[in-house]
Amino acid sequence: MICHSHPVIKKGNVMLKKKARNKITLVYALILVPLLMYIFFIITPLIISVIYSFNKWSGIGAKQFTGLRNYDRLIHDKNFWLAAKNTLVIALYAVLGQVGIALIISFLMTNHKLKFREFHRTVIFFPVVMAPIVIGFIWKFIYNKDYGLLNALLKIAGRANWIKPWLDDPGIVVKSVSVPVIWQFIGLYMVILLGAVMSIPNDIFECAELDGANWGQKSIYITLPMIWDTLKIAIILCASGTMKIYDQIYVMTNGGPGRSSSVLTLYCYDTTFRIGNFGYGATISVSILLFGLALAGIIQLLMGRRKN
Amino acid sequence: MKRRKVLSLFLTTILAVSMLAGCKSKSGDPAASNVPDMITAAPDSSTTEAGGLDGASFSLLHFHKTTDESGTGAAYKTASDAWKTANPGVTINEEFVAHDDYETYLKTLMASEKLPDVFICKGDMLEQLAEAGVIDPLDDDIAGEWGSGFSEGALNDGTVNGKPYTIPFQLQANCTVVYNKDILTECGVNEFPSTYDALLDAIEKIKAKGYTPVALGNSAKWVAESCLFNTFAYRYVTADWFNSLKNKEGAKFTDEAFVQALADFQKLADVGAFNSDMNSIDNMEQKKMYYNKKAAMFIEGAWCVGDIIANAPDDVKAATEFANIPEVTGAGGDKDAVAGGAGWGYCIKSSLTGKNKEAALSFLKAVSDSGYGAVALQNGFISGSKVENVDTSSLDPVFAKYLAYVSTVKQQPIFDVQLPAAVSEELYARTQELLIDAVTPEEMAQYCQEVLDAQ
Repeated sequence: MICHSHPVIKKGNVMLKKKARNKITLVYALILVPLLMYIFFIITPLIISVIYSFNKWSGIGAKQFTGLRNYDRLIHDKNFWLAAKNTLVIALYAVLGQVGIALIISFLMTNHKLKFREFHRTVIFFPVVMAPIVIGFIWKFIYNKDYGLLNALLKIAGRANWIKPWLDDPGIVVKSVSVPVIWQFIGLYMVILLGAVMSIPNDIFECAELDGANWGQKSIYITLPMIWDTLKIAIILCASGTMKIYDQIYVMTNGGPGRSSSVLTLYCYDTTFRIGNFGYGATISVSILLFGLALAGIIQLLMGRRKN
Repeated sequence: MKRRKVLSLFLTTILAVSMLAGCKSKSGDPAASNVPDMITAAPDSSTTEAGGLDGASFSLLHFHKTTDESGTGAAYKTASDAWKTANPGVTINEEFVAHDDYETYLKTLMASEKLPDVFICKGDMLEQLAEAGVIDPLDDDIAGEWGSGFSEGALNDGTVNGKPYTIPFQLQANCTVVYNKDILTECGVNEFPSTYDALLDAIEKIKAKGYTPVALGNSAKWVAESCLFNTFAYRYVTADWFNSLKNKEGAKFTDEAFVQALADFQKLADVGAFNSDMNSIDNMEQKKMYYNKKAAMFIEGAWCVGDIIANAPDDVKAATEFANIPEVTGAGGDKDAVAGGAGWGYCIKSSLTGKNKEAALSFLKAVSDSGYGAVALQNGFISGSKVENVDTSSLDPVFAKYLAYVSTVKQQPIFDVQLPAAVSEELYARTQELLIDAVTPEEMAQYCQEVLDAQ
């Protein structure tokens, strides 16, 4: 209280307040930039898409307001549900494959006996930095019947009877196109989970070791609960990210044979730009958003409850 | 400290301003960064200056790859360069987009109402553009020598309600069987099969020698439908049937003849005429199989001739012959029919008027009339215009063989150029399934008819 009456300190306080105010202005100014970008590049197109989805529009001439007719068509559209099923199946494979394998790898990384940790991390992360379209082409060659790497390896291993028409059989094509998707993004989730694992205080592990806990017990009873929230975010990112999958499948199968590996984004693109039905295309893109939100919500619900 | 704060505020402001400027150019400048100077330099149609076409300008969008050594790109470059030299006062804001991306790009421009003055357009988009008043019929503009110089059928794909809306620059058979006569002889097939039954026989013989009878790369989905099945179907149905189907005047996909065509086409796949990975390799790879002598033949449109000339090994080139899809005895179609036509053509936007339109027409004449036809032949492809007194001795021997083949066929409407895009997409996807027995001919006909009915 006495301090307040002191003229020098009072002056200092005013300066401090002014400084704080300036700092807040700066913070807001800095936040404004990404916010404007977000509004312009994400929110605005989203609103426009929703508006389009209530219209019949071929891209030329006037739009014709049709209310919920596009949504009615969507519900009865077999091709849409096939694409939705494929997308969700790939999302499931991606969560199990990408996050699952990444989790195991990050557990292994805590093992003291592991050598060349940096090297492993870099190699596993490497595919993440490659363009999905390149990944698509690489795997198209890997799966090739005559000069593909996969069939060549199977032949060398004496398992020529395992050779299948990887991208030509509607029964297995969804699994075949999921493998590159999983392979590409293991590294990303490994880095996220590894970050969480690294932030666990070392003394917890040391205590457990003193009590005689082995590597498996440490992983399940210490690491897993400690990184649960990060794991949840990784799964949400992975599932909602897979809703956007496009490039790899476009290159590898273009949704074929027939429509057996078609996914929502591919169906949306074809409807909009090949068939020229901009209104219905927008309806499909709104459905992608809804699927993404629903998935994120469900995962949040399931994993949140288990933690409690 | 203070200086740093000032600096960061300054940088923030710059970033914000530059972003807003970016926004402005996105929404204000019609073409944004992808279409440099194209629309901004668009002509003011009201200005008319004296002195021929001097001062006129128009924007142009096309897919002719002018760096190509042969084919449409090379011919276009030769003819357009000559015109530009003769008309130095005219400004053409020209933009090139690769063929595979062209349709998507064009549809994006359409949707944002930023079409250039002159652009290449495909038959199935014209009706919408004409209805919206974006383009006008060109019958008055091409009247006279120019219009009468077009080959028979060249204007078909660009015709809406009986009036031409596009200027054709090519006339391509969508289907030609390319075969290696040495391989056929080796397999005991001494001449190209002239009937469907003889073809089935030949397939067995070719397979027995370890070759793939017909290389097929259908991962892009359109190859099997557009280049193979479409012409095969003309052995069972006629162009009149197709027009009736298209205009919903009685003919249906479910008609017996069409279903029979589907069934017999499926049979070709069932007896092993094609490579088993046909739906996962593309049409570049199908040509490679032929060039590497793994396959006895492949079937593609006229555009493959340029590729053969440029890329096939000499011995394959020498053994290469062209043929039509064999006749099916008693099926009711025409044995000489081939799906073919101009497909694409130049359109002029109705907002282009006065001297600018004159300049555009003058330019388009130079890249489509019979003079252009002669240039096109020298570059290994056939334009939409008739050419008198062709000297075949100066042509590449492979192209000369193709010319001889194509003079024997009758070009009929291409299904996927004239049908609505949704029906074409259905045909593409279902043809892939038909080839691997994932759908029966009856089901496929039913599905396609349902999509057509919904249009």
